[in-house]
Amino acid sequence: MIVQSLKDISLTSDLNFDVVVVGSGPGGSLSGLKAAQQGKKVAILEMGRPLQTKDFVLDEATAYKNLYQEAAGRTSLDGAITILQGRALGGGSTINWTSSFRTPELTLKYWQKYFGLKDLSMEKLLPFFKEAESLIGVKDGEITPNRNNDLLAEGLSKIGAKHGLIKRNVRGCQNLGYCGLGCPVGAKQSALVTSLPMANKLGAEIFCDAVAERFIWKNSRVEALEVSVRGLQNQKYIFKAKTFICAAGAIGSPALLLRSKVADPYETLGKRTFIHPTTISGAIFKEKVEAYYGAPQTVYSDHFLPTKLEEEAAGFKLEVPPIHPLLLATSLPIFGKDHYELMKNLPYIQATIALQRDGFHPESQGGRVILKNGRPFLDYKFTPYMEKAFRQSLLVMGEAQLAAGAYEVMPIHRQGLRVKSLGALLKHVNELSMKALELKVVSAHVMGGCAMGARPQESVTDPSGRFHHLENLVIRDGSLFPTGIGTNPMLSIMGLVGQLSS
Amino acid sequence: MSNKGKLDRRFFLKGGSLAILSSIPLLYWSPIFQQTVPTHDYLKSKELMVMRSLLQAWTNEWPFFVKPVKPIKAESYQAELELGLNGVLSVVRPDKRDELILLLKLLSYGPSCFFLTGHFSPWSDPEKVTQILSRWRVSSKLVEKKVYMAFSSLFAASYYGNKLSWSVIGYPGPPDYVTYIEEEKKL
Ligand SMILES: Cc1cc2nc3c(=O)[nH]c(=O)nc-3n(C[C@H](O)[C@H](O)[C@H](O)COP(=O)(O)OP(=O)(O)OC[C@H]3O[C@@H](n4cnc5c(N)ncnc54)[C@H](O)[C@@H]3O)c2cc1C
Ligand code: SF4
Repeated sequence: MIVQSLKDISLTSDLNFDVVVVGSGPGGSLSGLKAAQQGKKVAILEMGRPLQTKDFVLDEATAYKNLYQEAAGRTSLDGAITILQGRALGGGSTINWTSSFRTPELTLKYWQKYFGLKDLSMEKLLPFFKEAESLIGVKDGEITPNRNNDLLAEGLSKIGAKHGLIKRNVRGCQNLGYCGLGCPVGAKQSALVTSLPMANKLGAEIFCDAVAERFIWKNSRVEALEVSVRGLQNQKYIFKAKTFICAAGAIGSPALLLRSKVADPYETLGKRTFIHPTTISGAIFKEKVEAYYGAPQTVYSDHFLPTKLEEEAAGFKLEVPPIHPLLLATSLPIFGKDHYELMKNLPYIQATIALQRDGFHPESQGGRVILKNGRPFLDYKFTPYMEKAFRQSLLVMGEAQLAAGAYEVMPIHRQGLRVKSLGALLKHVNELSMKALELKVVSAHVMGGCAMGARPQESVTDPSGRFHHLENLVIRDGSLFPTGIGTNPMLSIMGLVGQLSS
Repeated sequence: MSNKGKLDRRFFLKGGSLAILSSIPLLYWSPIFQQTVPTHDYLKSKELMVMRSLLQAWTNEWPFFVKPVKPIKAESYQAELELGLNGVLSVVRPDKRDELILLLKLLSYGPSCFFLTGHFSPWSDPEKVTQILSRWRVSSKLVEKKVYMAFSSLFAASYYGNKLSWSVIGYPGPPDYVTYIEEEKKL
């Protein structure tokens, strides 16, 4: 694949295209590929560095610095939520954990009922899910779960909770376990090794280190896009196109539109940003778990997710994270002896995560992307409704871990303690505060902020993904979702983008 | 490096002004950092002293790094940790770095230090510093929670971003995937 750094492009180059795509994540890459297949002259712009499979090293520090937004240090405005997002060629798909789920039917029904998205039924989306799955090699059963995942399954079985195996988007996976640092053998079928090289082969030009600063628009049309080289803001390139596709991801896309000062009469832009706020429970086993090796996520449980459209509780999906030293150490809000006593058990630690389904209740309306000196921040606040689900999730995870034979479990919380029995866990978790900056909350699933919908009063784009107020600007990424979805989003983004681009 | 934040009390009360402190990147041990500006170029001596004593209390009872079979000496251990800290400061978003430096400035100045810690100048007394951290850990004051959480990822990253920490926690490191691929090819 031929990838250019914008640094190496002359300011006087001809930068006229039919279609300019901002962002090379699963959404941007697929829409770039679709446009290239239609014979369009396409440019794909990515603010991340021009790094590919051969450049990936299995060292956390290097990977976080090179492939993540803000070197994996992005947080919500108040610092309470750690937000992991890709800033890489291939976007989040380059560093994600390969779990591939279709959008839950309940979520689609909710969107149809409350946001007027009539075309987003499972029946109509199915061909596009199948197309995406075949493009990125989604299949099940390729890898036997590692012990980290196995123990989740064992614990869930013992407490009577249903669970299943996760389909993954891999071809020839070597089961290394380092998907989050960029797959060094090209087995993960991210956009980096699928849509992007395919689009490139069809003539799409790919520019890295290219930061889209703002759309230049007049009346109802975007005329051009102002782009700078990452780290060199004074050098501006002007990209012209007939159609502009904004696919800078949730946070990134609304931020770009906010910087462009586009019309926003109902102040919907950046609002309804969802994150599947995720809690963590750690457990120490007497046997070796070695959660740093083996495919990161292979077991899941939807047992605690709602099954009815208007169910009261938020609910959560259970999975496990890979456990590497830096990720673990910085997730533990404890210090001194307590911190080291836990870290030295690394080979014996199992961790479970609970991803809360946000966006389906008046007390779960998501956060808002705002700009401070042109830089985006997500202002996302917890509500008592969400705090209730946090508490329940910590109890359920700890219970499953104890049932699987954990010697000790620990809710990951500023005042979290290691406990050995269910009774002690109940008492401890019920005494903990679930407020912001108390428990550790992370998100690797940022969605929304440019919500699609039939009514402009409550959306940013129409149901086709076209921005309400500029006729040649469309959004093609996870920022389109009007709620969280209750599952890992990559395949949902690809199915949706496939359908919208057809 | 701009160090121009004002040392006024309103700073604490302004909602969210310390917010970004908790967004310290996970970091950052890479050879590149070893060429970056030393920590004392970012921090004046008083701030550096605060940072050092906080780091010491935070990592108290974390074992010295092992290099490759013998523990390294106290001075070089301290230097390794500071190099890690330096790594943070060099890659952190400039606005976040400025906030961190401002916080250290506040902690090195008697009245604002008292506001945050209950002491005017506790930094040369390791026991006091540990007590302060313990108090922040359970504090319900927003400012103290934010400060605690900010240092939490900063110091953990300074230590565990360094590959020399791997052996003290039993992490064997990544598998040798090149050999792995070659073996696969032979099949
Ligand atoms: C650690 C991790 C693990 C995950 N695991 C899974 C998983 O197992 N399964 C799953 O389904 N999902 C997973 N996800 C989430 C999934 O990867 C994302 O939801 C998905 O990548 C979002 O796709 P997108 O196209 O909306 O945006 P992104 O993938 O975020 O891509 C947007 C791209 O735009 C670029 N960009 C932003 N602003 C600009 C700008 N101004 N100019 C130029 N470029 C810009 C960014 O650098 C980025 O590369 C994971 C995410 C993370 C971080
Ligand atoms: S487990 Fe290893 S080989 Fe498989 S996709 Fe992830 S990084 Fe690649």
